[in-house]
Amino acid sequence: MVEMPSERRSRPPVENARREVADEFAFHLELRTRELIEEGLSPTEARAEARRGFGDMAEVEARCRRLAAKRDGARRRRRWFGDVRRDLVFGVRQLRRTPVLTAAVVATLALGIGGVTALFSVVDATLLRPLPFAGGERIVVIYETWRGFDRGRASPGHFLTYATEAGTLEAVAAYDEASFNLDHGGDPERLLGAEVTPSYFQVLDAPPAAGRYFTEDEGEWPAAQVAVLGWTTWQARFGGDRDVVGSTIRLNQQTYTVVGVTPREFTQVPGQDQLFVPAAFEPSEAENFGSHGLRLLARHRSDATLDAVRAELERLTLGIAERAPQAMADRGVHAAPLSAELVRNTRALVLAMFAAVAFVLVMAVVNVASLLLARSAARRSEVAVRVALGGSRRRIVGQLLTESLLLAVIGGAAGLAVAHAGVGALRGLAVAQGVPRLAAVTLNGPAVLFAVALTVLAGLAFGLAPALRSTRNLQGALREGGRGGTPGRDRVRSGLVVVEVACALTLLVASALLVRSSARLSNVPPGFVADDVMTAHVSLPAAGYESPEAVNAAFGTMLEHLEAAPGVRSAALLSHIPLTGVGFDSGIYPEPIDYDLSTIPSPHQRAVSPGFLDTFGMELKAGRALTESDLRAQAPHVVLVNEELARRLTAFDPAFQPVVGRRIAAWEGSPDVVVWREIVGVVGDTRSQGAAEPPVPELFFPYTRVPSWYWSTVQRTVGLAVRAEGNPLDQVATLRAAVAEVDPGLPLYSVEPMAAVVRRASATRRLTVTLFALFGGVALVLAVVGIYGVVAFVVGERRREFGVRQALGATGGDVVRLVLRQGARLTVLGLVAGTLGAWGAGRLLTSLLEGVAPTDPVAWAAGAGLLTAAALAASAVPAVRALRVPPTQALRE
Amino acid sequence: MKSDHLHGTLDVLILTALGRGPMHGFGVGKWLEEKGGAELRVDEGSLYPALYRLERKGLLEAEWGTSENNRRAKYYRLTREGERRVATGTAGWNAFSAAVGRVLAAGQEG
Repeated sequence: MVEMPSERRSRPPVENARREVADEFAFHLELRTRELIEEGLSPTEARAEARRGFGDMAEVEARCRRLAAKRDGARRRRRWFGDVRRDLVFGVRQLRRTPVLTAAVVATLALGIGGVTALFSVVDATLLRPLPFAGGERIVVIYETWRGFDRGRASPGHFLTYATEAGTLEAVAAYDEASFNLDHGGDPERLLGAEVTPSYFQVLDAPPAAGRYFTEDEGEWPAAQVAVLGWTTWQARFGGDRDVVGSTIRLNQQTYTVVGVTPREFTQVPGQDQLFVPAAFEPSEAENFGSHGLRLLARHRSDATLDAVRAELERLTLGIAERAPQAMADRGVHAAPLSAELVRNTRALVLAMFAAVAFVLVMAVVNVASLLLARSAARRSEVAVRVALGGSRRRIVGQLLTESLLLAVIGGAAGLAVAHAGVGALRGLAVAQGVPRLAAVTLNGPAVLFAVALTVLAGLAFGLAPALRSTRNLQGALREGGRGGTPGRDRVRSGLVVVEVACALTLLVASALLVRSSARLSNVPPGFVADDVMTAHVSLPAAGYESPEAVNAAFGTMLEHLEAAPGVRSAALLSHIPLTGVGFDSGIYPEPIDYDLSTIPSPHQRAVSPGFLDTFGMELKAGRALTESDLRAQAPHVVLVNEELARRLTAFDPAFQPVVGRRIAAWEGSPDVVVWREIVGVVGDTRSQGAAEPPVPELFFPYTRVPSWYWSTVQRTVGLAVRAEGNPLDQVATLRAAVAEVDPGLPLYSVEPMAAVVRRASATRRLTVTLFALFGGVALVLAVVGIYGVVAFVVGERRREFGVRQALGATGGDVVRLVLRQGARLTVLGLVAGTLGAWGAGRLLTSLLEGVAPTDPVAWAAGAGLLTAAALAASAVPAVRALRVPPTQALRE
Repeated sequence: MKSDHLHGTLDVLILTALGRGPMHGFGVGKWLEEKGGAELRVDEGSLYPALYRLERKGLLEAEWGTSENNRRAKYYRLTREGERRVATGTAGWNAFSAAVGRVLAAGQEG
């Protein structure tokens, strides 16, 4: 028995209100006139008297017409709502009759819509939304360029020149990252913050959460002892207490007055936002164009374009170069919008993931359309009966669309739940990994609107085609006597499957490329052994540690304590533990010093204790390691270089070989001071910046023999590491005790096993691969479901034909081949179409791929092979099932 | 005092009239005049808007039919909702007119 929603019984016809009122009044007038004539009035008098009863007849008529029109409107609305309600009730009943299909459709849509909505939230938060500051879109970062490095730091002279002379800029700020030991009762704590000019808070313009920002006076040399707390510090350390404003805190063993708190918005700006103190420049610094340590931010005027800003900055920089040609050799200027700079490294990843989930959504919608098409074929007879019984086409299409929209709404609601969970997970990851701006991601208004729009579109997309098909060619459907379905191929469904296969190939190739790239990176030897190593960082304050002797003594005490501790195989001090920071580089001069100085190698400069090779398992490639005696003040100056630096030195001067035994001079803080240091050994390269980054040139000083400027530049910060005999985490107490030996008020921070550091360094890459593998897997499943659906459908329709063929002598193999050919044809067409998508995906991923070309044949073959195998398997199942029906039975049906 | 009571009087009368069976507008006016006398003569300028209003509220429904003299006429009848309203409306009106009566009587005594 075919079930169908009841058509409403006959309704009062909606009359034209004007005619209705006119007719009714005419009728009344006629009766009344006749009545009056019978009472003895003349016909003329009677007619006039009858009209008089209405008073102002035109006005009464108009009133009645208005009321009639409202009545009709309300009636139409009631009828429409009634239709929708009946359609919904019927739709729900239909969906519940096919629970597996409904669940499949809802789950598919939930994944597609949820994924797209979550990723749209990410795109919105990181790429679309303006920065949360007044005129946020006009904030630019100003870099100094130097010999191919286009994002260098600027000098105080540059800053002061731009700040006073650039007419296109409203505000210019300079800042430099700084770290502070906060002593505020309880455990001492390390805060990462910045020294900022007061104008910093004019560029990043958002009202303070409490108190105020720095005044111009506080930024005059010497800087005032005042501090602005960052939002997170305020919340975590001071419980969001507003009374903290005006109180004093101890920073680096000096007293500062808290004047204000930054709002939460500042957490969206790069890095170091835990604490701010004023930066100030001595008047003489205005002419200092030689030390490049400042980061510059500016907001340009709303009537200036970025190009105008760049042109003006270049003009000003040329002026500086004329004044200070020596300091400005090879230097230029570069300005870029802050919003773009923040996501420079994550933009490609975010867009690639968004594209991937968009493909998943397309596949989901296509699959659902395909499933519904199959069902609509099965329901052709129902529809035909309804039309034959007088159901209007409009009502039937409306009914079928209602069902589709109902599915889309349920899928969309489930999708929102998926998106909510996904955004939460992504935010958690973002916080852990410091992806800029991603921490602020929420399932926001635009994303929800986006989801709603998608849901409605999806409902229309996969509801309309089946709905229209169902109502076409009804006589045909009726003649088929309820068997359902047209014989032969189904072009629309086949087309959908081709689209699906194409999307699946795109995602699979993209996943394979990323997996290959990641595998390559995992196989890159890091050059050190992370197992069993525990690491931590410590910084000595300036107060009490002005002299190199005091620093040396403090670090010496720590190392002694570590080496003597039980369970410690070796201990080391290393100014830059691999993967925990970039470090800084500075030029060196190979002996003799009469080279063209513009091409000197510029290695990263590290301070180390002799134990660093053993502790980190680094290899000595030539010469000897450092010894305790190299640390002594009277010992000759020696250094180690890594292989990369040795290569560069040799490339720089082919005669500089072997490097062991040769001498170099580092920058000692003044061109007049030259200290020759002998290279005594070559250390194996390490991937200290991550597996994807090539080894950088490195120079290792014994930590007691560094150039005089060294410790203040690194803010007396070093990494401490121990190689433990057992669990490295057991050595945390040892590290704490070693630091407490020097000063119990010194905080130990970034305390982590080296293995965790290594894991974190590749976390984004592994996450990317995992997500893409997930997308690829979902795509594969969807494609298999799609192909299976079409082939099974066609097999069902051709059962009788297959029966005839077998009765006429065709073997089972013939039939299976026939069916497989059907699946294979669709797959091949899809693969061909997918080539284009996969090629585009490869291009989009280029910046994320390491050592793998976007056209990598292995990845392509893997993607296409997997898909083909899955497609054949999906076709084989219905083929074999077709055989299981005895021909006699198929023929009887 | 419920503010719509006096306005509602005409509604109650119309609903009561139609409670006896379907009627066209002319018939309703005629019936009210017969039963209530000249005092309850409702002029057409009030009667028809009231009929349309009641139809819009869903208390009445209308259908075109053929009149006694073989003309096309619009016949009104009560909906189920209208029937309910006749019952409550009548009770309400009785209470109201009794109250008016008490007030008027009190005025005459004083």
